Amino acid sequence: MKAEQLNTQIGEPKIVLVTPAKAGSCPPADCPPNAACRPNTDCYPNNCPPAMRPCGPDMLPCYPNGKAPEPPRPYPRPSCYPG
Amino acid sequence: MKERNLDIKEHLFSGEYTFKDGVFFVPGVSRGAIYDLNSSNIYSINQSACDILTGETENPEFWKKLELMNLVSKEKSDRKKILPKLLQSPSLQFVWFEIVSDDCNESCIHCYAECMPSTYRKEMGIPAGEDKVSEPQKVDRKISFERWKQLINESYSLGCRKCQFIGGEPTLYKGENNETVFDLVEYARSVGFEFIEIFTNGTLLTKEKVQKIKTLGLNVAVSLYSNDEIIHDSITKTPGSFRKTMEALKLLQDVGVPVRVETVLMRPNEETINQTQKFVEEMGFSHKQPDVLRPNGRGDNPSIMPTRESIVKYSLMLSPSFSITKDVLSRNVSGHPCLLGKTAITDNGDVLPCIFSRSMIVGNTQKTTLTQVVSGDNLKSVWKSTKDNVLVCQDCEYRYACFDCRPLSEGANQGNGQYLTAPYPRCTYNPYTGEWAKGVWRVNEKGEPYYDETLKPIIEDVMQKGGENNES
Repeated sequence: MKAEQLNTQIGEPKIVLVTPAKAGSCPPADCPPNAACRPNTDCYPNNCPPAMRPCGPDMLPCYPNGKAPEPPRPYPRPSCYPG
Repeated sequence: MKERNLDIKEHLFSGEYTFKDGVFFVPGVSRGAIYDLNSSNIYSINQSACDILTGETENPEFWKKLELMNLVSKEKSDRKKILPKLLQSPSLQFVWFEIVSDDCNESCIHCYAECMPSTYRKEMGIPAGEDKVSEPQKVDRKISFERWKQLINESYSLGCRKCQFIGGEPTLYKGENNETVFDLVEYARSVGFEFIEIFTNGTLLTKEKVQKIKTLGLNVAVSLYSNDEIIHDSITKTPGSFRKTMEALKLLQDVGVPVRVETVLMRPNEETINQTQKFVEEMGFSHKQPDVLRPNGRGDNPSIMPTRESIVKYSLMLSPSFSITKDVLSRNVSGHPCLLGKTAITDNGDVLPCIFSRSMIVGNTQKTTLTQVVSGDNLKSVWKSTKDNVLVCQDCEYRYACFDCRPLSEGANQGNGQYLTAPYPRCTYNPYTGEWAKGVWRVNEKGEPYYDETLKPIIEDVMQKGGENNES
């Protein structure tokens, strides 16, 4: 999601998921071209079948070709080495 | 500053629709958020959507959309409020036993506790503890072995089950009758502590000590600053320290002790930080993201701060990316999400809310019992301070799903910010405009927050290249 999508907008009510797909589900619009999906799992980089349809609920995109992007992380505690 | 109350709502309704159990609305100053404990998802909503949820305007279509998203339903029966169950009474959950506060066989350039070998200290004419404790509160005596045992026992009686032995270098600990850190660990284990970790540089570990660690079921945390021996040794200011730490890691690995290897990112090691993380992974140890240097103790030194590029890349929150669990929400509505239930006890008995908070002394266990400190107002006020009290965060809709670091927030503002209220300097979200990644929050000399946009070009550059904390 791009930051500018979240700018204050008066008028139409807007709701946008701000949780990375790993913690939630994979909205079809987030699936890359040629992506296949597998249920609730990180599915890259190997053995991904060619895309037959967009990812459905509770599925994550598969990246059969090329490098998968770094999975986004929800904001956790900041790293703190002693604790 | 006047304390604000919690502002989080459940079971909002309109017409036939009601929020499902576990779904919450959190208003911000210009936007709002819906937290869904059932899916761990968080949704950002604009002001129009907030107005619909709070009944200011009507929009059945939007409620229908929420029904399709599984956030609301038409069922009316058996609604159970979850929020009251999430509110925790503050209790002791984790203790750092800082059994050696001054001495270390290394002299790291960034040490928050300003530790060094006692011989260095003598040569430099710095008395132990001189720079850490304000005069009126100063207690010179070190805690005795028996007193440490009492404190361990008292911590357990207060409900604490997790602890860490730390220093200085904790393996340098020597009791009145030559007792060691392992005697204290053994006692903690016998009392019933379930998780015990020792944070060490590893350089003094021998085969025998590692076997003892294994027998006691200890977890070990070790600092490694670089995969490059010269850089590591230059940071510890101790020639040969890299080699000794590596030998210790090997010994620990050989006997199967759970080890995490942690790296503090600073100027001298930033060029090797990626290789270091890879090196640690290849050795088979767990690690976190590098912990970007906090300006505390000797770390409060601009010459060793990482470059602004590294700070942006490794530490800033650049785009919205949140999730929510019962535990996270519970901690956030009950107090400070990091500090709640934690405390550190130094070797002269001072009690701190966090090991980094060297000047925030909330009691002394040589003057009173730990129970008195834990139930006293000083520590409780820290534990119970939610992000509703943190400048800027208090106006943000993500405040009950987020984390921050109080000593960092105080230190980064160089005396202008207060411990419990200084804005978090690693957040780029501007809740007043709903925008991300244009700057970071600071406080001015009057203690007022302002959005500092001097980092904006670097943020843009890092985001273009794909920052560590940026969504792809």
